[in-house]
Amino acid sequence: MTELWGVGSFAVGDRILPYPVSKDDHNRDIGSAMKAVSSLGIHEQSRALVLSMLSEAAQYWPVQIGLLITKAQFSLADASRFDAFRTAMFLKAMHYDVVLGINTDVLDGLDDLGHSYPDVFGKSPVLAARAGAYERLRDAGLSPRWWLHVGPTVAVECDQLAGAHVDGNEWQLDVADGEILLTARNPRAAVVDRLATGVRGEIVTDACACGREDPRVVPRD
Amino acid sequence: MSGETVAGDRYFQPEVETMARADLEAIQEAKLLDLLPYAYERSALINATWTEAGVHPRDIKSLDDFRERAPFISKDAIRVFRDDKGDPYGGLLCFDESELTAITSTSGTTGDPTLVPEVWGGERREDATPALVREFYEIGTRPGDYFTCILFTFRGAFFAMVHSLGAVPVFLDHHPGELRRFVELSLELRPTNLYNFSNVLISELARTCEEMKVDPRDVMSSYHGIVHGGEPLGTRSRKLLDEWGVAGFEHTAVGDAGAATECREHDGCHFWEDSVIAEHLDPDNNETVADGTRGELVVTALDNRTMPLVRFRSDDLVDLTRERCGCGRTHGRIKTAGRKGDEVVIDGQSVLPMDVWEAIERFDETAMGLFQIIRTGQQMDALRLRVGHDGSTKQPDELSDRLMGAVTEATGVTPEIELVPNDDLLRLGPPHKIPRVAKR
Repeated sequence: MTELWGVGSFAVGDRILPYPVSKDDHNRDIGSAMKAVSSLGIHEQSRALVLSMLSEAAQYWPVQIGLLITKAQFSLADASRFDAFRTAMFLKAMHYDVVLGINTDVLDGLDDLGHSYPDVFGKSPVLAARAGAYERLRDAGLSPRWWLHVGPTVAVECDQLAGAHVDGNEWQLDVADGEILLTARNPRAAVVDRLATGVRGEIVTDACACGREDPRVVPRD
Repeated sequence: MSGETVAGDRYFQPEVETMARADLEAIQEAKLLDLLPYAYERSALINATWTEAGVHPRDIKSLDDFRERAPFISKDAIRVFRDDKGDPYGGLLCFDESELTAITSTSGTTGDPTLVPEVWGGERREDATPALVREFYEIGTRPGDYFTCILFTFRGAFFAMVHSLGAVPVFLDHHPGELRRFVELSLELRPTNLYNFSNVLISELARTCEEMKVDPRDVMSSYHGIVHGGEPLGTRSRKLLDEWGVAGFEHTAVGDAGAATECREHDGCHFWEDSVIAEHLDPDNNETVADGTRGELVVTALDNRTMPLVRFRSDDLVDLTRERCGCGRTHGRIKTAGRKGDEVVIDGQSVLPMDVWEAIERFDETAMGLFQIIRTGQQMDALRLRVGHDGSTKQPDELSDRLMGAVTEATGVTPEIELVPNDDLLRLGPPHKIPRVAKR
């Protein structure tokens, strides 16, 4: 039996599905996270604010390990309406080169607190936002990049702003009726085979100007 | 730590957990004498505090010297230093900020969260103590078990402790909206332990099980215990856990220097004295109070080289004992009574949130135990309570009368009651607890 690292979850639309992750999966996910961290321009001495929920540990803990390996500094806040005050507190107290994982719950919480998005996020050069939050930040005059949850993995947009990269060593992308399908290239504790992710968009397979050859998802608004 | 150190029925590190008191104090003294010059040289607040008191680390040659001469620091002193010097770490950080791995924060329930600078090695903090690993093992976690982690992200990877026991974390958010998934995963995976529940989640779980038409006793049947933290385990929560046949293990902070958790004797929360010096003092004269009695908890974190707290006044009032526990452990135990800053005195009668809790929980409409004491100062002319209710009552005045009677019976003080919807108080979250004292 595969030795498990943990049981996390991922969302497809409104459904939350359990997501068992083996230790081998986790180690390979750290490799994918290292690519994501690099795509966001994070390097040694960068500082990142990571917004996630504990149920997303399978996706976000590899990111934190990636930040550790990169020797970047990071802070953590829940990606929830309740905890939006913490996001505002960190961004007021110090400079962050990157804020990643921004979602609509955090933005709702900031709305509750009467904060404007430019006031809270305006000093951070890279804002990596999930679906829903991306559009709201853009509408507020900010320039977010995609931090796109695609089933159990995350696609990340580099500075070329030409779609969000998925680690092609780990995942294969297909499209059916405009919906992105995800398939694991390697054996995993969870079976992911042409998973309908609920993400609508196109796939670009050309090498990106950033140098990455991984496929990209260009979401459809 | 590794699974190889697991031994015996209930001890993860038997040689440390049951160590003779003299040996434990020898460890404390050695660590302390190593820590003091380090903190004095590197922590601006410690240096300023000791200099002002005319004390130098070379004056301290024993635990007795320390207790007699070392000056205190407090939350207020840290905040004043932070604001006066523009230092977000309040003068406690012992090296350059650029050397930090992570900057996390406290929960911030009672005000601004405090920044917590950290240095992590691998998947855990380098200065982390074995706290929680010993407790999880005592509760019954063993390699291969599933372990429900239902918490927040903002304090980092506490689940490394679960991994170090060879168990498999099941990750859930600490939010009532996650309880359906909690029920489903508990029935499917049959975890043996849980960290951590709150009164709010316990109360909501009862409702969720009812809605899902599942028996909570079945849901909880695989759990050897659940760890409960953030607030004291309320009477109603304890009753529900009893009905469900699962033991609740109280878990509390040791003045920001660590954590303390009940063992299976349920007779106080063990704190680990190989990593913390805990004193309990009379708040009025700073004299040590007798073992088993109530005093203010004052702590020194022996293993924290990032931001060491040295003789930190926690503001927590605790009953503390160092008598050997029924479990055989020799480390001290605390029972938290409340925070010194939460106390109100009406006509000479002291009232803490814990004193009114059960009186409020006993009625169905206010069973979630959501309430605040309105406190404009320690001395008050009346006990004013804001109490959350579920909206089911058609006669709010009658509910207020019942609450007044119950609180009067519990405290000897007749309160003024302001009823508000539960949601108004829950919004003051985070969801696991609310501020129990408000200024208005």
